[in-house]
Amino acid sequence: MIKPWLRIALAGNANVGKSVIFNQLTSLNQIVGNWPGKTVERAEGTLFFKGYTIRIIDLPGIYSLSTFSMDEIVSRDYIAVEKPDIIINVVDASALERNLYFTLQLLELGASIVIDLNQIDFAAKKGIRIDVEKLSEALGVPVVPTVAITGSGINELLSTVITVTSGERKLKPLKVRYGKEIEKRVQAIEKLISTKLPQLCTVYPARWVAIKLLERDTDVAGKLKNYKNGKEILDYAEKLATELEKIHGEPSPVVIASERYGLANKIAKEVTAIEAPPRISLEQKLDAITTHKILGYPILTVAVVSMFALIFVGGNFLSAGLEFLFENLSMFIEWGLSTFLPRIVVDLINNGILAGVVAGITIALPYIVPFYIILALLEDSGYLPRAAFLMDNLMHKIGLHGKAFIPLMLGYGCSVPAALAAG
Amino acid sequence: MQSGSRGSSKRRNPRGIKGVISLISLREGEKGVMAYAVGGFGLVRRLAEMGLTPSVEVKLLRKGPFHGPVQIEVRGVGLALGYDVASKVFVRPLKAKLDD
Repeated sequence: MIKPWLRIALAGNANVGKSVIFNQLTSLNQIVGNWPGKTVERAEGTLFFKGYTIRIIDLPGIYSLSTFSMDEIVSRDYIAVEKPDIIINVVDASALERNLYFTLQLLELGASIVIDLNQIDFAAKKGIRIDVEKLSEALGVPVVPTVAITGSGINELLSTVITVTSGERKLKPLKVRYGKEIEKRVQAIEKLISTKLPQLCTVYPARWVAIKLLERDTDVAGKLKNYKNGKEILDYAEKLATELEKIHGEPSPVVIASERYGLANKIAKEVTAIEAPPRISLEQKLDAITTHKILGYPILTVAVVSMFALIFVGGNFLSAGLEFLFENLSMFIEWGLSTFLPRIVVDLINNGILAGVVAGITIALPYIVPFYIILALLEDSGYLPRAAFLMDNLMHKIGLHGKAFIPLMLGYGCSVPAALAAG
Repeated sequence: MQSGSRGSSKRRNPRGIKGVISLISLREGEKGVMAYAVGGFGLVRRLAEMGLTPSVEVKLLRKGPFHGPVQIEVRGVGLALGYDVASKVFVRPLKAKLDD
């Protein structure tokens, strides 16, 4: 029997380890490009599991499926229009409530999802224990705990996905319900859409469109404008949204977000047990010192000066070493070649080809390589965002964001890596 | 602008609800309950999506120097808001508890 292709999309908040999961799943089988016509990165990979060929798309890390950014529009259009076989919703176990806010929106969009409860080790460190079974029951979809960094749970995650796509395990996704005032209006709009615009409902669930219209979503409103009956529905939704705003005194998306968060909070509370109160860890102490109002700045100065020193001392050393090596190589070539080649060819090789390569390697590379190593260290250690925290406002005054101070500093040495880093 | 003075004329809460102050007027470590946010439709909506919805509990973790970013904890997650954005969020301060 030939097993079919599967299309899986990874979706979730930013900073939940989604890319790590993606790398674990696809290792080096990746193609990174852009979404057609958008400046949003699109990463795709293939993997083989139990005879299946699985195509995985890593959707951008987002907090919501609204239209705040291109990332969000790309994601929800992909989910609604392309309808992947399954969506793995990567959820940060240490920030369940915020992540569930996104999960609820995936459910509203009618997606088939499997929850990857990631970073359970980190959550445990913070004293947070999540009842996986209970969470799975509450959402009506499978929940698989993982630790992406070590790859633990990844196999079960894939097996679970297969049991769902093969129909062995049925999903009973939670129906997201709102309070009476919102629910009444959502259902009214939903009914109007189903009767007046059945064409649209083949792509987007009518209820989802109704919620989005009530939230004054401009992208969905734009889609409706293309239809003959669209105007009528839009006017109706507009009227109901205004009513809702009058009752609550807040913009309708805030009212709806509040309720959605209320539900996320309720579920998170039901399935979470807070164990021993977390002690103040070394990490927290370092965090407090490095972002301290006064102490932070000498630390920043030391960090920047040592970065300079490392790059330039190390760079000079490497540069001199390489230069010495190539000078000898050049002499050796001249001596070796001139015995049997005419002078002009030897010059071409030596002063033309070799000198050009040498210049590139000895001048730029010895500075760029240490720079990238140090930048990676700063990023991985988490110091960069702390430094950015200290520098943010000063950098904003000159029209840059806080993190831009690293390339700015580097620009004093060589503008090439500075431009690279700023880009 | 002085960051320390509560209820200075510039911080006066636009909806005039009693006992409500701007988020940036909270002290580090102090908690508040969100009342509302002012600003454009997009900003208020975005804040709500990040979890800053009315009546949610907010803890101010720290304020960046020189009117830098304001770090808060909301719904169990740390969030850094720009000073200007933070000044548009209004909260009702909670009395400090012993566990803080």
